[in-house]
Amino acid sequence: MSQFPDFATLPFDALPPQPLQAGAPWATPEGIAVKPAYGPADTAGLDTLGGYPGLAPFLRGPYPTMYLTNPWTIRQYAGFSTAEDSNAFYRRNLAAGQMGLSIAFDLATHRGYDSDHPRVKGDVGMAGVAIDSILDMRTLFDGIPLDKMSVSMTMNGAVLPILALYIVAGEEQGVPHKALSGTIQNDILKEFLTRNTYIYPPTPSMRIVSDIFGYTSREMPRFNSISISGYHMQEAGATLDLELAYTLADGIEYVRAGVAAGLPVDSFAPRLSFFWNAGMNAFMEIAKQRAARLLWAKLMKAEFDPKDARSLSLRAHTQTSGWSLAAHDVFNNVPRTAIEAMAATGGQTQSLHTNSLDEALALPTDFSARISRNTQLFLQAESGQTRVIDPWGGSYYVERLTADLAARALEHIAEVEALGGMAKAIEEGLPQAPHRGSQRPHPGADRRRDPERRRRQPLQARDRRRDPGAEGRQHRRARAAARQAEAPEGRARPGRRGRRPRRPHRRCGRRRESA
Amino acid sequence: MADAPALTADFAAATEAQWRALVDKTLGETPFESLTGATAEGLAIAPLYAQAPAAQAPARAVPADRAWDVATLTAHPDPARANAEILADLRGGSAAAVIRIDPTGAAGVAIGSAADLARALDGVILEFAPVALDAGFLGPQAADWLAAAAKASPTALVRFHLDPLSAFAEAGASPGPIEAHLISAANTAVRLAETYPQSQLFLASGRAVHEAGGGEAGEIAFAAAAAVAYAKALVRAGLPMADAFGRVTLGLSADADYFTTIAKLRAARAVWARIAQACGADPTARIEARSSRRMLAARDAWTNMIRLTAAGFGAAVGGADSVILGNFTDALGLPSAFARRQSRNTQLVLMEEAHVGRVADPAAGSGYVESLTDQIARAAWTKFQAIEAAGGAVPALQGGRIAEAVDAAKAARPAEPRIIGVTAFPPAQETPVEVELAAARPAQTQPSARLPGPDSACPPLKPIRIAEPFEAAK
Repeated sequence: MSQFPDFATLPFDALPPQPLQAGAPWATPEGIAVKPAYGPADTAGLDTLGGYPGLAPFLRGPYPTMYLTNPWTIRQYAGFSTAEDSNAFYRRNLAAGQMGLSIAFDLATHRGYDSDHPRVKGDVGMAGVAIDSILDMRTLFDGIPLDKMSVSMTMNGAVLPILALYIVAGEEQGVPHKALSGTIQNDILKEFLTRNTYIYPPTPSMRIVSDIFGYTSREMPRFNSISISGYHMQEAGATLDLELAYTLADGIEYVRAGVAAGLPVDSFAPRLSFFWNAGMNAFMEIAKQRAARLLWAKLMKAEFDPKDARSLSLRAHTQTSGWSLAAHDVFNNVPRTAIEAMAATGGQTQSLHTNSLDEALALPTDFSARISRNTQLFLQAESGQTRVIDPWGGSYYVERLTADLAARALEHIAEVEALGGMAKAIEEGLPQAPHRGSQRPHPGADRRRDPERRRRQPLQARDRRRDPGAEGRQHRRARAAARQAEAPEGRARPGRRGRRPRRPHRRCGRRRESA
Repeated sequence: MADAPALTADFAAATEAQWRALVDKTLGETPFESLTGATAEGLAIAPLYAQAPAAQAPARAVPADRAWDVATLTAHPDPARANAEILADLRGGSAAAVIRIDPTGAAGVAIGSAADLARALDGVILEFAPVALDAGFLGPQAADWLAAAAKASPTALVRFHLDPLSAFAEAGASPGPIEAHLISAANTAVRLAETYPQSQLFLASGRAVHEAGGGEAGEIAFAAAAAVAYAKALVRAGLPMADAFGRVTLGLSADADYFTTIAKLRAARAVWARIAQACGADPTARIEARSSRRMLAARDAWTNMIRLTAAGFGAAVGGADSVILGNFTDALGLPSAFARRQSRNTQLVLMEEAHVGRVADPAAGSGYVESLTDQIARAAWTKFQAIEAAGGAVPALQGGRIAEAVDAAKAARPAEPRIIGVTAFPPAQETPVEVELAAARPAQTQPSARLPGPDSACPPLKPIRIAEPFEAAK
């Protein structure tokens, strides 16, 4: 046995660095060549390494202690057809560990119509809650203290009446404007790019956006006046470099609108927030979250040179992707969503919606909502995800991806600028995002298909995206609100939404996305 | 790199002092040290890390076609049903099978003869689909049965995975002297090694330490000591030294705490490399990672789907060559076809959709992972040296040293852990899960693992489930 050394006395020495594995690169849809292995040489010379969370340019995170003192907010997006059902669902979820609300509105509400309007027949209660008047908004938040609960509202086109009704609902609870916290999506540019629930043309739409900046900066200092959204771009097929670039370009355009309306940049820029998609390319998603913070700080500094550091700091909500989910064999969606959630939080998002496994089929049941919420609770309580700030920071692979993705995005932003900014570019018809194309969905999906094709017991997946009885009930509520509004005097006016201008012919997107 | 654009030129470099001032403002009276954490073995975890100047562990070379072996474990007592499960898994995208054998049918497939194993492997082409055994003290006999099934094909991808030390550690006893089991296993292994040049002979596993509640360094130390014991036994039985190390696979667990899993697997590669290099053997480790069973909950078992995803991610990113994910219902009974499909699909989603295996060692350079890797590797080395100083794995087990380290790690964990669905946010109403009901029908032949001589004994490493004490109380 003379060949075996005495290990008890053998010191531990790590091996000298080994040569990196060589091989053909993987060309990602972003046009980034990913090598089989990364080492220190791959990040040598990058000026993006290091840095500190809470300090510009914020690559490692917007806050100094990140999840160590405040884990991300678990914010599940939901809206059932009626205010009563939605309210009951919210209250059950808040009791089960959710920390913030995120409201999905129905298509009629998005388009600015009352539920009894003939143009929205069939859309009432579709993919969210129908809100016609203060009666509905009051019911929606019944028993939910608006001074404590941050509320995110996915509303873009009909943003004025919805924000007004929310404020009034708060007033009725005795909550002053300044105590309201949450986010309104208010991102009209991406409605022209992808989602199509706009009401007015770009220029007057931008006027509404900057009016809301002005109002909230005076009245609602804890409220995010916009959620600048890349989510829908990735859902529509955009690669991550484009999601990043066009969203940041939108953001700069909004700041320009605010400044042009006479607002000092530091009066509203700290309340801008962003909304990312988390797709399946885990490490690219981590890099995207990091690159986004860096680029926002860089772009803001260069154009507006704000004095308040918070104007440079990008804070994001993230939702796991809908495009990666499958409508058959839905339990595969549990690991998909879990991986996306690991990436989003690994990239240090501020809040997160995890999709339910039946998201592609239906509104979540209590069962599926539980699994998606537990995905986040698990990550916070059991996975160690909150232990270290920017845990992937320094990784030769992730740092290189971060820099490469940032460089790609800057090229796209320069293209948009050459056209005069995003609003102009949209009018010129620029961004029809290149598609992920054939690389996109589930390789080997056939193998993952359930040969039995039977529905798993807990999944009651019919088309539950809409409660079939909701439309009739909502008509009756809308009429009741109208009668009250016309009552001669006395009671508070219910604040029914006025008649909206006729929307043009466009169809509304039916996927549910949050703010 | 010359192609890196200036991205941060507009900003003055932030300093640590500036950051600490902001942290102090956030924390108020609370000291900065409140932000530091530690593993169950007391290894420190800082709140923030700078990039590491170099990787602390050798990277695994990732095959271009399949990043790792998607493996599934079969333990159905009926060999015919076990066969159906294996074939369904292979057709469904898994690449390798593991068969747990127990002739009584109580804790594995009721296989007691070569014919029984042949039944379980009916239709499996061993030249394409690696088959591994998990047969405890029956390992040498099971290895002969598997060899019979492989019909002397020199390209058969068989993994005999002899591992008498894990069987001894778990049971706290061996039928006959444990030293005799090591010799018997090595003799069988050397006899089969030449016929099956691609076979793996031993599994040096630290999983018994993990499942009993032990920490990462303790797990690696035990696996390393077992590897050395097996290599020595192989050399004594006639195998050349270099060949001996190349025929031993490292077995490690992967759990929900996935950064720790990543660091643990990397640390294990560093420790293995040091041992093999000191013996003049190839420093490349082969790692079989199996998802932790102790992390699984019986209550609200659906949440285990998420735990298993994190474990699979950690195993893959940590660089396992082969990954076995358990089933989300494992704490309740045998898996249904649905649970098995879920388990292998989780791996396929990680590999094919999340691109987790595209890059070798994706965490390399992360100050956090590198620091944890290095600390775990050094702590494991110290523990391994203590085991060797005590005379090796067998005396260390018998002297209670391993069990004591496990108990210390167990005691260092929170007494009231947060377990989603059990101690935190239990469901108002359980949504039941399906499990297979199968009466244990013993195999016709009940082989004996007994060897001549007195039994050996050691303090057993009893498997735990962290959620179990809290499930009973509810």
